[in-house]
Amino acid sequence: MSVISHFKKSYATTAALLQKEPRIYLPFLIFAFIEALSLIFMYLAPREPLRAAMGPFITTLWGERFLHYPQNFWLLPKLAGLAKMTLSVFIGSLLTGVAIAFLYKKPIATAFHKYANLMIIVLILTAVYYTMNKAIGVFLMKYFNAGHAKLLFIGPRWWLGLFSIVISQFLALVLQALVAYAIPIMLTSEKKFIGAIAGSFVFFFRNFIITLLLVGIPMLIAVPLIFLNYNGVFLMTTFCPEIILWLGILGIIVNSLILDPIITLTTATFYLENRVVKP
Amino acid sequence: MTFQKPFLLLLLGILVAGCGQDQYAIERQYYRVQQQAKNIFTNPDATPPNELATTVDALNEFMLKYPTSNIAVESQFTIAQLYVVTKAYDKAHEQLKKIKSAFDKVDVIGAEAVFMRGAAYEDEKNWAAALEQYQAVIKSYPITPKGMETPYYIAMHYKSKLQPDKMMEALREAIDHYKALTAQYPGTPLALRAQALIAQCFVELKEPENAISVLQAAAEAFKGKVPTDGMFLDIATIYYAQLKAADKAVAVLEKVIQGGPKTQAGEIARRMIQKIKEEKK
Repeated sequence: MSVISHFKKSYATTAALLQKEPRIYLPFLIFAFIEALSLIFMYLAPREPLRAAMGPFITTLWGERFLHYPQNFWLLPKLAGLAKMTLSVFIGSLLTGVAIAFLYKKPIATAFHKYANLMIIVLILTAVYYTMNKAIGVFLMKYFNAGHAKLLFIGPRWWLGLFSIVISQFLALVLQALVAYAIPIMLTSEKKFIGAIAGSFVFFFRNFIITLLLVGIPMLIAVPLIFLNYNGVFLMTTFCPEIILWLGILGIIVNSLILDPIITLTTATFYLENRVVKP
Repeated sequence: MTFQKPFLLLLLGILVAGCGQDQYAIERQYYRVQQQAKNIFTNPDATPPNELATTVDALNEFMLKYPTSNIAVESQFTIAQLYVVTKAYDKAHEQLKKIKSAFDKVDVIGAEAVFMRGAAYEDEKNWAAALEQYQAVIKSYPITPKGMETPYYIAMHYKSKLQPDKMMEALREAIDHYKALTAQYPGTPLALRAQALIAQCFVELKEPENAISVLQAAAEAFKGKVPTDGMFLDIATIYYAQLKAADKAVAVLEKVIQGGPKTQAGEIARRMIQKIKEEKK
């Protein structure tokens, strides 16, 4: 079967399963709701009474000015991002496991019993992505601060601007593709997180192109949103500071309600249909 | 279940937050009024009179609603600035006199108001009246930030008007004034600031050696009490830019790096040394 055929089949099968069992989508709805709640919490952090709890934390890490209007909106995307990372590790991992358990017609308890390993997989993915992203950012800053005018004939404005975002998205694509099958493997075998990640690597390299397509093509949906977030300051000064909050909500709808379900479910479906089952 | 109580508390906090008239709510309201004023600052000549009146009313209303807020004072100064940019100078002076008498006991605000009157007279091309206001700032509010910078400001005015004799006279007066302040308040942050301004005056007078010796004396006097790296960076800049003594500049910068290799000052010193070496080639 060609790559395109596999791609179409994964989508068709996933759509059919979702139609038959809509509860598969429920974990993503729950995660989106929790994420929205956390976004609103971060937005209201400078207000009483939440300011009493969040104020010292924000002041220590980023400065007192981010407790004032409208500077709090400059920090909001960063706070929301950190919150999402934390929620993904502790709650998203479990909910993803539950969604795939529903997809595979396994009992919900399967995901709960494997919660620790699910959490570790997401933690490793998040930690590696965050560390590599930060390392690249620090390298670029140090390189240009040391006085170099260009890197590969390109100046700092491009590297620290648009290219940083492209590198970040490429990193997300590669890392997600590498561990895309770890949770499906864990739910269909007795493997722990190390075995599941290793199995995912093997399956990824055996199905390299189709995996990149299943993960990468949906990610293109987020490109307009990335562009809008990149121009956040311009949008704030042109329209109103609250636009950053609306972008955050749009981000939750696009990422948690569209992107994540598509990537998670289509890769899980592809794995189920193409895994090699040992007799 | 164990997570029910914290979750409900969190929900309650979210529901309650944003309902009250806290500092954030006041800042948000002020931001909206400021946006109205911003349109006038962007294009004052094209501003219709009713738009100015509406904005001034909005700012005054804000002051009445939140008289004890720190932003309330800013709103009054914004009104004065609006009158200045729209060339309603009589109203601007009236507004600034009102601010000065309303905040008579707060020197910092009084100094700002009087200085701004001077700036408004400058805008009207009435230097004599402006100078009168600036001298009032120096006399009545000498230790406020505005009071400290005004003597130097007057000298820079003459520089911008290409009046070197008056500039030099003003700089000498400024140096005497700052020396008096240093003697009156020895060992204080005010004295440190005064000495930094003295050094700036000597640089303008093209007496770099005097500037360096003032900075060195200040660095010695405040050693261990405040970070002095900034002063050494200034000394290095004077050695290089004014005295063309690159070696002496590098020697001072190397001392800064030794004192704190991983500090921001150390980083700046490293870059300055690199720049000096590149320009030497």
